Amino acid sequence: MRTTLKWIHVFIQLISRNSNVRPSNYTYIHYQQPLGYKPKKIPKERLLDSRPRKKRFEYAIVSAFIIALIALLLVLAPKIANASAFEQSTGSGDLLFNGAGKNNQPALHLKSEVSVDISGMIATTRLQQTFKNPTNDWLEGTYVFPLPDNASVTDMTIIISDRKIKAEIKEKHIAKEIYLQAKSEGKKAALVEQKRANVFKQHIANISPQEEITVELTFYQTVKYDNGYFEYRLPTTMTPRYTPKDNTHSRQKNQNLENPETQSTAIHLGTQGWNNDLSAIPFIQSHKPSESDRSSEVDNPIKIEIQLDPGLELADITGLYHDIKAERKNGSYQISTDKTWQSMNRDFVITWLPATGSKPEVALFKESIAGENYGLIVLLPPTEQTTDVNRSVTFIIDTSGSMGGTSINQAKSALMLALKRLSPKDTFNVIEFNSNTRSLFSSPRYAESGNLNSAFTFVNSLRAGGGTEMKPALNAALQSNSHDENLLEQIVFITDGSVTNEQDLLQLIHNKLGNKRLFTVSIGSAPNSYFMNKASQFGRGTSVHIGDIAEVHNKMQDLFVKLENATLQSITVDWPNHIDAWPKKIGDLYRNEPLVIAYKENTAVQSDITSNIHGFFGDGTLWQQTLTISNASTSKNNKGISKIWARKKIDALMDKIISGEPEDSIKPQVVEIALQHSLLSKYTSLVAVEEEISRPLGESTAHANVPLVSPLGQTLITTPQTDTPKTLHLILSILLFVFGLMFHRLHRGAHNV
Amino acid sequence: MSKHVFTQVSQSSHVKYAVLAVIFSASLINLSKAIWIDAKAYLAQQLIASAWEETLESGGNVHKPWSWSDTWPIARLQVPHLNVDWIVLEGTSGQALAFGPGGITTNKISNKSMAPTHSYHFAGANINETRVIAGHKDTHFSFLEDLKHSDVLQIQTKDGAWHKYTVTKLEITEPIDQKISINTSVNELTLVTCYPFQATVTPSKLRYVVTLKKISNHA
Repeated sequence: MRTTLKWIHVFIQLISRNSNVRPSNYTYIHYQQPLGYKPKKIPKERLLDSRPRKKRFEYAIVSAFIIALIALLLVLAPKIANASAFEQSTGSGDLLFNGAGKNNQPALHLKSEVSVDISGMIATTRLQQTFKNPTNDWLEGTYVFPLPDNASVTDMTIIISDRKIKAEIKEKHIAKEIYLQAKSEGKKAALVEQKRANVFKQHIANISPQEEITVELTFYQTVKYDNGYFEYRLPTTMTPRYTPKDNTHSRQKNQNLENPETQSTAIHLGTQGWNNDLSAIPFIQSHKPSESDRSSEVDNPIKIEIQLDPGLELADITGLYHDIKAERKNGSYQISTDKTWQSMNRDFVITWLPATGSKPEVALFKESIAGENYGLIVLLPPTEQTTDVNRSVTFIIDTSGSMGGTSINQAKSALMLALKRLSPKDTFNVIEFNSNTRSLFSSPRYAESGNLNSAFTFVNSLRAGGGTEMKPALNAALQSNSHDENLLEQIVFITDGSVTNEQDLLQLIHNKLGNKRLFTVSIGSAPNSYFMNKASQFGRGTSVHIGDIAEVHNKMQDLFVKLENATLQSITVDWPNHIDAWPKKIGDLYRNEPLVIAYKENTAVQSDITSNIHGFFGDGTLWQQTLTISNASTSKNNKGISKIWARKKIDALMDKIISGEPEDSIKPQVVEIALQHSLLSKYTSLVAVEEEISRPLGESTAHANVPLVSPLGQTLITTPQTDTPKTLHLILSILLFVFGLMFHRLHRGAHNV
Repeated sequence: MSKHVFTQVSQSSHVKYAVLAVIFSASLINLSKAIWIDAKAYLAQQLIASAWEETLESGGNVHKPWSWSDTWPIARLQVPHLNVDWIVLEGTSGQALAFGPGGITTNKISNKSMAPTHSYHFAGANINETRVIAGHKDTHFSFLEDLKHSDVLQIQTKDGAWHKYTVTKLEITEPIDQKISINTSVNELTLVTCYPFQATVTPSKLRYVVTLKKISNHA
């Protein structure tokens, strides 16, 4: 029956295509593959025909027959009528599903309260997370939450009514032991571990029935300064992540804090639908308003208050995703969200813009702590030198199966824009890869119209399919040599980065980069951003993200500005011996990006710090600046600089693992700094234990996961195109066959006469 | 004179056979394209089925059906009364869907109202929460048309456990910018395919969405 119905539709469509009559139910989009065999052939053959009238008559009979058939089938097909009635009943096309938001687990999280102090470039955030055990059992709670990428997490305090227990920094495995010990003894304890660079997991043991418990975390970070704007960002939830296949095993171990030995027990299976992933973070789909004056009205409510002391005249303060109130008090600003309680379903971001004329070009912040001096330098290099540099650009485009659908179209249109942007003096090449690597030219060619046209044809013909063998393509691009010293060699890598051998690839980029620069254009709604960002870092370029076809134009413009205006290259800073500055390796600075360096001073040496910063403009001219930091006593102590310095050093050390140093040799160094500065890291955790035993022995304890609110707008899913031209092909095949037979017969008839 | 006529006839029959050849080969090409779609859909499932067996035996590890595959089995979906038995694949790229229904993982769920926060999606490849499965209306998911309210289907997860679901809602929706709004809770499952089922012209503008609610954990 279904087949017949399909036939009916085909006929309807074939007819409507010719007569421009469309059934009202659907809008048809013309299928792009060759459709026109039949209609095109008819007129040609008619020209050869000596007796058109008779043939036209026979065609008319056949057409009438087909129409009659359709009419008959229409009568026999009540299902079609049903289908359209059904459609009307659902109306608008909005999907409203019921029963959402019910979670089987006890709702533990009561609220988060954040107070932020921003002074110049440093933000100190105190995040208080309050949990409530709504049950009559003893509970252990776990909560996975994000923090900013560059946060130096230093303190944790548990607050139970009026008691405060301060955490200590310990090596990860020791902290875990302490926590488990306390948990089994019935003591209140809290443990916070770093899961990934910016994802943390909190465990709280022995929460008494109906008890409220608050965990306060303190972290420092530098605010972002790019394009003249300052930005403070606090993530409150996250897009669920995807664990590399190879890592599933190690993940499994980490997750099972209770029984490190047994790995087979999947956590919370059964309460999570049919999800059996072990790293699953529970999410709730919220139907409550995302902001309100009362905390009980929103899911996972958060209250944010910011004290901003920018040290500059401001022109503007903006909340990107929240309505904010800002009040000026004695040179600083009190900023808070307009509605007091916000749902933790989106990042909190504020930006502030200095008033014209007070755009900072260099700034220094210092901290003296325990007899040690730390400093943070922010320097905006000159930007005006836009010179016309000839470039050699190698485009790599990922055409693996995972790029199928909208991703490949985004990638292709991004690449087309970039190609059109080249000047005739630039050379270029295009490399496509999936399971195999294919290059447009054997060596880079000038961007002249002929070469460009072959490139356009090449790009247009690209289809997604096959594996993601990224390495040979990267290798080819990194090895290609333009044989011209004056050319700026750039690689533009367009991919979704869906690979699991990131370390391998990053190492390849690190080892073979030479004078080239690698820029990444990440495509799709969920690209492997860790890889994309790290690849551009190791490739000394920058990264842009295109999540939607509509973003292609703007995002590519951003990239062009950076590609064509490499303000400063090969920046190096010469520090005196008594200065330990991080990062050691400074890449290129693109337009409006500041140089941010943190240093530690060996105080035994009593002298001013003089350092030389130099770099090269695109045309090779030297840019030089001498920076003198006077040793005079600091007027203001900026708390947190030492932590920021330590975090920068840890980051640089962790990067060394990618550059090929064994983790075993890096780990002790990281542990040392982290312990010294009380910093959470991959190898160190914060643990707090109350001396007093609160849970009587014999009372058992249950486990609860605190869910996150799924990010705002996350309920939108991109649906794949789930139709195939199968039926169309089948119908065309049969129609053509029938037509062929008819043609044969009619023609024979003509000869016989 | 007669010679002349003969030439004329022979010429026109040449043209005729050329035209016939074109028509019939066009017919054949279309036929093979149609068969190819089916062949991929049904034959690949055989290969995938053995990868699924390995997945179950290994206790849920990833097993690719063939070495260069971008996808791998993540679940098995059965509708006993419709004789439906498919292995569900990871992801919904065009490639994956040709071989089997694909699970839309939540990390593929886009977040349009916010600026992209690069730091949030990291390296990776594992399923976090698959509660939405999409399939081709012409092959694997043609059975959705026959699903009725209260029908029961079952899903086997990587741990080997079967979960039963019952149909609670059948809807047609129009995606805006390829996106549809889905609001599932933990105990729900959503199946999506293109609509109308009989349409032959691609791409379809509408989607058929089936919502199911979990009823039990074992089979």
